Amino acid sequence: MTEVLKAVYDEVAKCNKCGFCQAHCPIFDITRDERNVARGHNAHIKKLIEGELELNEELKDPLFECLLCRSCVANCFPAVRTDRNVVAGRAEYMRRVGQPKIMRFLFHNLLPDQRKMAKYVRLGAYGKNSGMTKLVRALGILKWFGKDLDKVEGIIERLPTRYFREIAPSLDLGPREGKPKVAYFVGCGFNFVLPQVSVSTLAVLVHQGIRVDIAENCCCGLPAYGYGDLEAARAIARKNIETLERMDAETVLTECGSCSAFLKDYPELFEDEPSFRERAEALAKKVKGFSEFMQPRLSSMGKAKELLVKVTYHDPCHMSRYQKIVKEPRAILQAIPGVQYVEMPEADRCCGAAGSYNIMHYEQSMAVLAKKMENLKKTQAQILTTECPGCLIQLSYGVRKEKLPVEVIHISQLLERAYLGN
Amino acid sequence: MERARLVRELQAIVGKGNVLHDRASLAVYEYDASLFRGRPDVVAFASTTEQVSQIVKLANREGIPFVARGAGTNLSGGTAPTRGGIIIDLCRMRRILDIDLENQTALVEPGVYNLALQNALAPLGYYYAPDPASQKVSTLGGNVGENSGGPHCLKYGVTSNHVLGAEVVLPDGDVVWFGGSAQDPPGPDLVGLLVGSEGTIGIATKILVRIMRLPEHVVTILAIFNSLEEAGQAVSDIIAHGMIPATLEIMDNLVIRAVEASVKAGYPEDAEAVLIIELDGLADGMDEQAEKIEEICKSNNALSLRRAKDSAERAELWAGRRGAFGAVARLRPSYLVCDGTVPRTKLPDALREVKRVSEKYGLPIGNVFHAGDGNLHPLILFDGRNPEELERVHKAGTEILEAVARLGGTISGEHGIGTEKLKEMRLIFTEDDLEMMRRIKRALDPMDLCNPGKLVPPPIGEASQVQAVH
Amino acid sequence: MRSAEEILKEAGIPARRVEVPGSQEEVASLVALARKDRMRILPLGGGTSIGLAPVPEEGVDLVLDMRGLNTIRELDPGNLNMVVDAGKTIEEINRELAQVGRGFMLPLDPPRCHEVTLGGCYAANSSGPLRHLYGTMRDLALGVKGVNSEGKEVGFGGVTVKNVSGYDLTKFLIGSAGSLAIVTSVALRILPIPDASAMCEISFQRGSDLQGFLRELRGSVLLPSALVVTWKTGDEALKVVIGLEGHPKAVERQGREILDMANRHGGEGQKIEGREAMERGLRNSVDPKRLTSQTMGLKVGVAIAKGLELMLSIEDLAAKGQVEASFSLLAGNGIGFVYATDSSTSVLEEMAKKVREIASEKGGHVVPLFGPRQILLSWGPRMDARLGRKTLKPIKQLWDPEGLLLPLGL
Repeated sequence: MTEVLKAVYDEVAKCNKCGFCQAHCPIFDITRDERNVARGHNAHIKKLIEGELELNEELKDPLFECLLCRSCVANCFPAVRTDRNVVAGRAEYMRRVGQPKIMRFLFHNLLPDQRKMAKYVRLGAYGKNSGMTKLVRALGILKWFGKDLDKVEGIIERLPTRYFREIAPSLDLGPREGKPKVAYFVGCGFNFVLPQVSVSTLAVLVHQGIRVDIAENCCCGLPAYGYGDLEAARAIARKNIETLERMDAETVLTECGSCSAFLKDYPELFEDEPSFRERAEALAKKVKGFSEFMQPRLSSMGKAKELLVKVTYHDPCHMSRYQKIVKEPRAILQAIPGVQYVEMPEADRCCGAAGSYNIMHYEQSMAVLAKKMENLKKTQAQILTTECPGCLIQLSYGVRKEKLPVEVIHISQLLERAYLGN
Repeated sequence: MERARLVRELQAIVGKGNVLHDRASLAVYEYDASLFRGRPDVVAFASTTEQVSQIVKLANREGIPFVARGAGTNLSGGTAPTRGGIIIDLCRMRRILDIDLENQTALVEPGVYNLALQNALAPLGYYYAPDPASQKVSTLGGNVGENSGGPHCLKYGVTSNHVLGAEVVLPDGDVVWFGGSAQDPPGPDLVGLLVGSEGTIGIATKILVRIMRLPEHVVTILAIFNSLEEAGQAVSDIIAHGMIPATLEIMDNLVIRAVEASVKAGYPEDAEAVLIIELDGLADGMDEQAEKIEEICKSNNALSLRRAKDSAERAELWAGRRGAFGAVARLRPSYLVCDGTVPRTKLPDALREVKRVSEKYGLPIGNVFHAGDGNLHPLILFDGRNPEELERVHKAGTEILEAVARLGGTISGEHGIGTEKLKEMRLIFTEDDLEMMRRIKRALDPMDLCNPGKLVPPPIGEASQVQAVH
Repeated sequence: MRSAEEILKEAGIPARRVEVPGSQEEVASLVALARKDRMRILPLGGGTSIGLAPVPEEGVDLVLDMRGLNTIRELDPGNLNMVVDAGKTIEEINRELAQVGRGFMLPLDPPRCHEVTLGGCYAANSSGPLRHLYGTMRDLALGVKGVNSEGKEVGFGGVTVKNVSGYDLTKFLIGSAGSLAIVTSVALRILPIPDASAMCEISFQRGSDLQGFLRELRGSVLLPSALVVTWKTGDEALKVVIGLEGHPKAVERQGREILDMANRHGGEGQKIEGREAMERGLRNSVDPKRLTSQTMGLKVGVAIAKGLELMLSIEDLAAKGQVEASFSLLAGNGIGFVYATDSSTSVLEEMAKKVREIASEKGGHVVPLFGPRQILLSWGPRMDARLGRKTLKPIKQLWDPEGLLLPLGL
């Protein structure tokens, strides 16, 4: 038994096969296939560990169809950490079979190096925005989009020509004396696809007179972790830990739900490295999500203009089930003058984005998204807010596809609109 | 029949993507929620009655066993195959076909979750009475196969009392209708035979159930006692006063502590017993009845009483009970849920026996039970990876059932016989009784292909084909 | 109470021998003896549903008058159950139960319940008005003991409400009318007699008004114990009899609301207090008004919503044929009783044929409970023949290979 699997054997054994996960898994809800539910995943890993099954295509494929949304964990009686078990399975597959060169390049060369990554993303963006997909394909960068490329391309309408890190130097970040209160961790989703969100976030922070320093962080590493490349995830985490330690800020803030969740989970990556583990724990204590940070500070935002709009909220999996941040976003929305907050049914049901799940498993992802759109319609809200770039992209796509008159934005953008009049 | 050909023929019936035959897929269809394991040779997802019928006819032509499966949440080994063969998965037959308020019926496909039906009926002011604890994951087809119960059986009966008819694919593949919307179909009660037959004499592909108007008013009371005996006596006294509450549920101290650790329902951790009582019906006079019940509890030394003021509080009081099995599951990696029923007044004796068995085998056992109808669920905790512990668990389970039989009860209140309790059937039935059951099976399934090896043990002398595996 | 010979004579069933066993063991030995001589057996109770059993024209060899088994074997009010011999009448069971403790009841009230034995009620799946709230034999029977065609004593079920051990033969044998086994005792659920009882009697001049009232009542949250519509040919009005039981306040409220509801739909009625009055009223609503050798009793079943319309169509048939008939509809279940009397058997036969036609058109079924022998002999299949051939016939062949018990009626 390898180390990776040994670490989860006790965990998979906790599953007593009651089957109640079936009621909560968004993928099982679509396929009704036992391979797509926590009970099945745990059974697969257990049999893999016990040598009954080989790690072949048929075993690994369902493991990669899991959203890692933790709906099962939240409702599992013995609270089996199926997400960890699934990742361990993916990691083991990677260890034995390896990964496509392109993925290795992505996780080992691009994600840890933000400048290099920007270059390559730009190439892809040119291809997309000018319709030069063939050229892009020839360059091999976006080969991994595979056969659903036509549909998948529509998920992101248009890639920005300037990334957040390029915009940042021109932003007024307020007074520069004293220690940085907030180290702003730049998430890739906002940097490369939705830079306007980062701009809004910073504006809101600066408005309160907080000293914000933009961290020279690289990707948080979640894509590598989700794929099972634990080695790359650890390398990335070490780099970020060092970068953020040097900044010595009071708080490490990011408005990307996936980033804040993964940063807080860094200690789990270093169970066998006590020294790094301690440093990861120290960092984790400082990490805050946007609404988590803002909700107690809302009064310091000053006066707001009345917005007179119906607003609802989608809980990103990484905010609700990973970090248990559920009350804060709602408290913020309900406190904004003029806003009529309406609760969406199944607000915490996964939207199907799950990082790059919508690209890798387009059909499943769209089926999951369809349910979310059904629930959204019931609210009759004009604005849908959330706190994760993956969700923002996916939900915008859903709204566009169904031609709904709904604006999809981050809470920071709504706050900017209300309190800064932008 | 050669496997590749079987796969091709099944693909021709249900479509290529709906047949699973690789080892990894089959490995997750060898279990349900019991401790029994049995690997199928192939899994086929059916979407229509016609497909189910064709699969069964194919199985007949080639002599291949088959097992119908819903969510696989039964607790007795009902959906795990004993001799390989085809698993016919009905989960994709998940439509509610009709709700007829005037005739008080609903027609559903077997893959509809019990809770999904309840949720469809509630806005109309109706409900479907059998509400097993598994309702959010168990399918109506599964409920029919196992004759599922739930906490409301004392007053409303079990699944069998609420099924009016079913479209059935017989073991030879022909399709017939048992019962229907006209009540009292002439002749012996075939619907009554089907419900609880654990998939051994046919597969229900449509189910016609009775629905009822939601009660006007519900009162939920939580009472805490210092001993199981006093809680049990309170239950007996309530019934002796001529009241038939809709629910009477009890949890013991081990379960209470587990629940507090996970759900935090507000139960005092040193309480010996928690009793939940629910009255339902017309509002008139219900408050008086509730007061009478509270008096009775007090006269049995209840430590505290809480009456729910509204549906939110009602949900709170129930949260502990609904999370009980799960909370107990946190204490050890595996648990065996036993399922015996004794006449209610014999519950204290039954619980004493359970305690004795727990001490004898050194296994912690918690108790949740439907105090109203005498159905007890001792939860035996253990680590399933330890074969020695597993053996002790099976022995403990059998001894509990022996005690239950001795007290004039039965060995399965709601979870079914499956494979798990085949040998215990002899505790309550003679060979003559069992032979009559075997003849039913033989009459309807002469080739013994329809979920073989379940429900009725083979005659003495014939080896059982079944071995419980973990 | 009629003797076995009287019942057989009236039903026109030739029988070579009549025995009155006094215990289950006796039944078993008699059956074993009958087996040796290949004698066909008819278990007999009160004979009120003798039409259900397709007795062959040549009659039977051995009649077992089960009324010799008539004790209450076990009585456990604390656990709300009892075990009773098959030969005791329903009325007697209730009379004895009412004397126990605070008073208990077996809420079964088939027509002619002073004659109906428990075993007969079970074998014929008989029921009456109280099924509206309490259900039928399948909801009240917890277990059954009997003797099979080999003369072996067998038992299924138990005394508990929850029981899923093995095939549910306690339910399966209900309605088997002597074709699969001879029932010797049944374990039953009993209930405490409610604190208060009352009855509403309401008249409606028009079927459409009544239909509106029934719909509203069935869709409400009210919980009457019984809901019967009864009338006979030539009546001006349709009479509704409603039983109410429970907490005094609930009974009072329901009585009030039901009378109001009736008024709103053009009906007129009154409420009568007391258990005796309710019991009497309910019995009168389903018992035949006239019972002669030329009276035919039919039981019809159809979807609830079609119950009244079917019964009214049957009344039309009777009126056209100038047959004197009375009708009782258990309006919450779609179950109806038709009692028709005429001096001409062929007129009755013709009427029965038409009743079956219109019932079938509406998706319902009809069975003969009793009547002139000719009608019973020429009735044909008493259940869905295809279904029976596929499922019941193979079971019958294994359970009664020598055909000693009554045929299935396919």
